[in-house]
Amino acid sequence: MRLFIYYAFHTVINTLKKLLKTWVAFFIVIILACSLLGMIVSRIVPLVVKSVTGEETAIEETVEENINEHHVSKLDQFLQERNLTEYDVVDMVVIVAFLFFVTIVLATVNKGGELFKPADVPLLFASPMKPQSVLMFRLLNSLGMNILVGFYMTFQIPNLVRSLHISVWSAFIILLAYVLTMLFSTLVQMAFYTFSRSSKSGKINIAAILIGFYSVIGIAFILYTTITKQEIWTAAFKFFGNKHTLWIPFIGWIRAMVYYSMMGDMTKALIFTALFIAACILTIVLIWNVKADFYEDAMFATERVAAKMENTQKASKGGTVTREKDRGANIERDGFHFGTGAGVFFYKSVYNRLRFARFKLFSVTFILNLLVAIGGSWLSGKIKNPLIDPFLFPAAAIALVAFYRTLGNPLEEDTSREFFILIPESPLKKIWASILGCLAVCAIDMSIPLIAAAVITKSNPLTVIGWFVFILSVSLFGTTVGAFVSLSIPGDHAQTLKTMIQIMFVYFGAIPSMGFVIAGLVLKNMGIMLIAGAAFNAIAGGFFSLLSPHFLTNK
Amino acid sequence: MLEVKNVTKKYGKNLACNDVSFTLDSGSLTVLLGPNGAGKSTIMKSIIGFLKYSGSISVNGIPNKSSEARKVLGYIPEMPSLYSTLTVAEHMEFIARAYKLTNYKERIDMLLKRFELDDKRKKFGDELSKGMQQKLNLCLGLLPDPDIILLDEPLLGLDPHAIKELKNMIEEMRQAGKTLLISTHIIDSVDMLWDRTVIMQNGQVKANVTKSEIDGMGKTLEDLFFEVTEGINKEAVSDDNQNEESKDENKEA
Repeated sequence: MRLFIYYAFHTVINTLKKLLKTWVAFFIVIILACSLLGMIVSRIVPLVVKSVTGEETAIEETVEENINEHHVSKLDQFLQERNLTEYDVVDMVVIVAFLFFVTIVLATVNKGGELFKPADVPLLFASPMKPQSVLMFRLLNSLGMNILVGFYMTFQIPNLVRSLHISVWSAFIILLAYVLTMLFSTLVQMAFYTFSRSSKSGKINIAAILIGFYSVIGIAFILYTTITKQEIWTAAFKFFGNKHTLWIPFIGWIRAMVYYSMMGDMTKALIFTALFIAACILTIVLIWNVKADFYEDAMFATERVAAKMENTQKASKGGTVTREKDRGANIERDGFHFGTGAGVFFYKSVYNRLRFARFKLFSVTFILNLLVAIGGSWLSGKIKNPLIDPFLFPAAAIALVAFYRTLGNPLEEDTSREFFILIPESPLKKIWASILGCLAVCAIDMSIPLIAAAVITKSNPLTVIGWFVFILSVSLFGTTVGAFVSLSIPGDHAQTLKTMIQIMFVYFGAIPSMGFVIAGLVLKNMGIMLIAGAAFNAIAGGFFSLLSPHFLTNK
Repeated sequence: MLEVKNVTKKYGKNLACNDVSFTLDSGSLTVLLGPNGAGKSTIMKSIIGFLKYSGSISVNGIPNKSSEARKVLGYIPEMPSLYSTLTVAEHMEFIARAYKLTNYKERIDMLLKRFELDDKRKKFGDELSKGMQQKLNLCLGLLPDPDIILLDEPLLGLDPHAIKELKNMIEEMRQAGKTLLISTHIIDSVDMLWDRTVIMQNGQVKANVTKSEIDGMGKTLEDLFFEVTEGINKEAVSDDNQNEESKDENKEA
């Protein structure tokens, strides 16, 4: 227990320290400032509004109450028709949540070894501690984290009190039920894990158990509904929410503690809570006493976890991530013989686009563009607005796809490799070769979908060409901004901050593009406006591309 | 000739390299030794032009970040950085084309055979094991046959055959008049013929001596390393290439 407390305390403190050294501190300050502002505004504004328009507010409040009454009456009607209360609804929510969490956790029972950390193998497995002690240590850590993560839910207590018309204690019991559900899920998972590791096969067919369990319940419910000839909702409440089943261990007890707390019977609520906790302690004792040999399985599981972590770390530093399985044998593996100097980056992108696409054409983006083009054209046909060019919908949708595909750093595959800097060519040439590769891929992915949309909507070829150039310019702008942000902000841990800054840059930068399209609609001269927009994007993109090389070797 | 003059590199408040100076003579093999965190990789990355620093680095009198300098500089990084979308053979072809090499097919075949990657030609970068990735990394660095080659912890992750092969290649390159700088923290791995060793600690050059000087002292490289990093021997520093600041520090110690 001392080991657990020491580890848990230092883990939490060190994690917080690390987070506060990153942009999270900035984020927390912003959130606190906004919360403070929100609190002040929420206190001041109603006072000001009340003093200025007292009567109007009173009228609005009455209207609002009427609306609320209308909503309440609908729910009441549903419940009254079936002789139910809102407590029965909460009871059903408890059942569904309990089964959901337990099922989710149980489904991963054969991956129970991943509960351990890679460092546990040399440090704890090799120590004189009993395997069960090591297991308990990790189990308690996992539970501790679950409870800590669930702590934010205490902020929901006032909400629960207000919406369910229950006492604060009752709301507290509901949250306690959530924590106990988490605890029970982990305990059941570990019980199954240790029992299965003590068996000969060393594994458990959890899918069969879960399917069997839910099949039995499903069949029983169908039989109940058929025999009693009840409407399905009434039958569901009576079958699953039957108050005679509150004695059933675990699921019944957790329902009982919530149900009785809402009914105001705190004695019964506390008795069922105590029963549940006692049963959990018994389960822990049971797991403790199982002589299971799970070290081998846990070791392999931690190796898998370590490999995943290493890959993530490597990828963030531009290293090579190893695949678990080889690619398909039918993929062309000896066809890259194009380009020289910086040009290799352009040819590599285009070659790979063709190589990995089915029949050299159907990449995921191509299919998405095609679907978007057909969907947009169909929508145009349905709307039939004479003021709007029918090609606008599919083209704008494809532009949106191209725009979102540039988020992140499309050039990262090249710029993160060391030989991008080592290759003896001008940095600007290399960056432009890489950008042109991205643009060529974008052009391949959208050209046929645009033609398809043009055919369906019977559009003017010049408009189609205008949109084609405009979308390419949007892609150019997004790509160069992405590369600029990624290269100019150093540090590996500021990835989220980089993305936020890039989104700000790109979204603000996209406003003029939207402005050009809107101007084209208003002035009924889309062609000219698209070309003007493309020129604007090309200039802005060119500007960012000129800045990027400076940061390649200035980390 | 490669000349590093008063190079200082800071990562935020952390001083990774402090006024580092040394020279690599043409055709020499220099070993850059130092414990973990000594600043070896930082100075290697500064030489190759990945980092921003104060001071100057020149290759045959040309600034190291120019395209001309890159044509004669080769670098084999500690961590392989390959394309997941190119095969082994395509990686080699990619680098050959990027460096505008001519008649490179035979050299590709030779390198792939020597590092036992010949049967892995059609494997993608991400289909290779860690050791194979490291071998391909070596082949890519050696393919342009540069005049000055920087190897950052080159033996890490290699199997015994590849280690032997790399050591043979280093010897061949040395005999062919190439200038080599090998960074490592494993003294035992430096059993090939070397001309000079630069020992770094806490971002500073603590010793810069030739092999003949160490032999003259009757010491091994290991003796010198521990004397320099754990206790100081004033005589362990040669006069011609020594960093003045480190000499002063050694005297004080």
